[in-house]
Amino acid sequence: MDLKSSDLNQHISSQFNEELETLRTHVLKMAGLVERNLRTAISALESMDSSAISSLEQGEQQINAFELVVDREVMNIIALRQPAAADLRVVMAISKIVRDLERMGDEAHKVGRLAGEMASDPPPAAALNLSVSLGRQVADLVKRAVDSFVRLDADEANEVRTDDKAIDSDYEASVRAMVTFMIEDPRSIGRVVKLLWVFRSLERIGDHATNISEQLIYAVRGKDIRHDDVSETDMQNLVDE
Amino acid sequence: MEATMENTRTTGTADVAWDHDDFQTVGTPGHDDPRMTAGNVDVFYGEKQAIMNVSIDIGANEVVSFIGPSGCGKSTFLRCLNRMNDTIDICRVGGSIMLDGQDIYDPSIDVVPLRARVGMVFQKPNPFPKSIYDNVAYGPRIHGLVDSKAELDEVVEQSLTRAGLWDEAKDRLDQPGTGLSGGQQQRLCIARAIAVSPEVILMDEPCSALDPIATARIEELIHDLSSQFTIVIVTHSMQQAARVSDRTAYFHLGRLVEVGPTKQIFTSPQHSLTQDYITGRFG
Repeated sequence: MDLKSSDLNQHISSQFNEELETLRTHVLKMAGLVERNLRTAISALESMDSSAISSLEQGEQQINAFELVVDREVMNIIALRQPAAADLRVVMAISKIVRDLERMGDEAHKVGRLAGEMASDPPPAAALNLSVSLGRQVADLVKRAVDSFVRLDADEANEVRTDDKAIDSDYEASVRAMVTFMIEDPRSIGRVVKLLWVFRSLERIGDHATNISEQLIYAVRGKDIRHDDVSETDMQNLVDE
Repeated sequence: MEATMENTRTTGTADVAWDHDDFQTVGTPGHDDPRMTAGNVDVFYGEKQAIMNVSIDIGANEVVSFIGPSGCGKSTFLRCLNRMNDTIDICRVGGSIMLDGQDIYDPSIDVVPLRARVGMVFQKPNPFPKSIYDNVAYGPRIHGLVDSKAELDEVVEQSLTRAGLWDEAKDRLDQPGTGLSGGQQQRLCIARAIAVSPEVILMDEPCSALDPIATARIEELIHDLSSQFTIVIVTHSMQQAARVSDRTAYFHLGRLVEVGPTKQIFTSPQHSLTQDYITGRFG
């Protein structure tokens, strides 16, 4: 029995409907800011532009503020409404999703800051292009994770999980390519190391998008699909110890 | 998983054939160690059918809560478990209800000892207009469970202690039970129920007339008692069901819609009707 968007405003208490709607709206606004900062950071990377940092910092501050706002709203709903079943899953999922969004914001900010630092002494163009390409893939993944949240679309969320694996393998290939660049031209080591940090941040953002998708699937289907290496028996053994 | 109760025997009104539709309870109505087993229970008030084909096991030493909107049949079904519905002339019960493997609707069953084995606590505390001591001593006396005054004193003290009322009542045992506060009266009624060492205690909205502190005490008591007794509680408070019970059963329009571990019912119910009810949606 999958949860549908239309289920969220079907409570007898119209106030509760409004509170859930407000909560969702704030998460979406926060996600919008994260997406915007990520795009800004990737553009800065592509054009080796150091001027984007102030806009990124402003966005980052708003993202942090939204994390506090949403956390407070989640606390209030739990304390005052005692949500159950799908409502509880949505509220719990949201409290975790905002944490991932906030971390994504941090990583996007880091990419923008590194782009600014590299602007005066750019890494080899071929290396930079690889990072921009991975950045676009990650931005697309984030957009799809957010869209799946908007539509409560567990199938799309599942695809996001699958596609993040492609990003992980591209990341590993890129790291190997960076090593080659450094071996071929040891003078580029300083610049390429910075770019390695960029790859690392982009890969982390993809992981956070996956976390969001997993939370969304839990909210919609009530199935916790994280950590497929852990069985119900493993958990039971742990608590029985 | 679906209800797979095989007991289709009809007692009392075996000549009446009821048409059951193919509605199936979802979840886990069965239990590995059942104290009571209800099989295909139907209840009629005159022509009106109040309970339709309900099958559920009540496990030994478990707390099961029955929830559902007003008129869903949860109290009616609860009252079938110790034949309280016998007192209503137009009420007919079909199907079977077994206690320790014995059909409680068998004509050979005497309802008086049955109701000692399956005790009941009601919505409104109803102490007898007698002393606190006599309220608790009443059951053991009429059922002949004690041989001496000393033994009776011990049963009264034990029951009041188990019901968490001994410290408050020990110095006023000769005073009327009706002089206690609402919460204390309800604990007195619980002490009265457990004084006859029942196997099962049925509770019909036992906290609905109590304030939150008295409610918390009764809930704590339910938890303590569950180590010795099997408890079935009907409650309108879903949070209470969530707090006190091991399994929760959701009734809707006379049908048992879903039964499952309470944690699962309140996090991932399988049936949309259950979900709508516990999340406060329009049903």
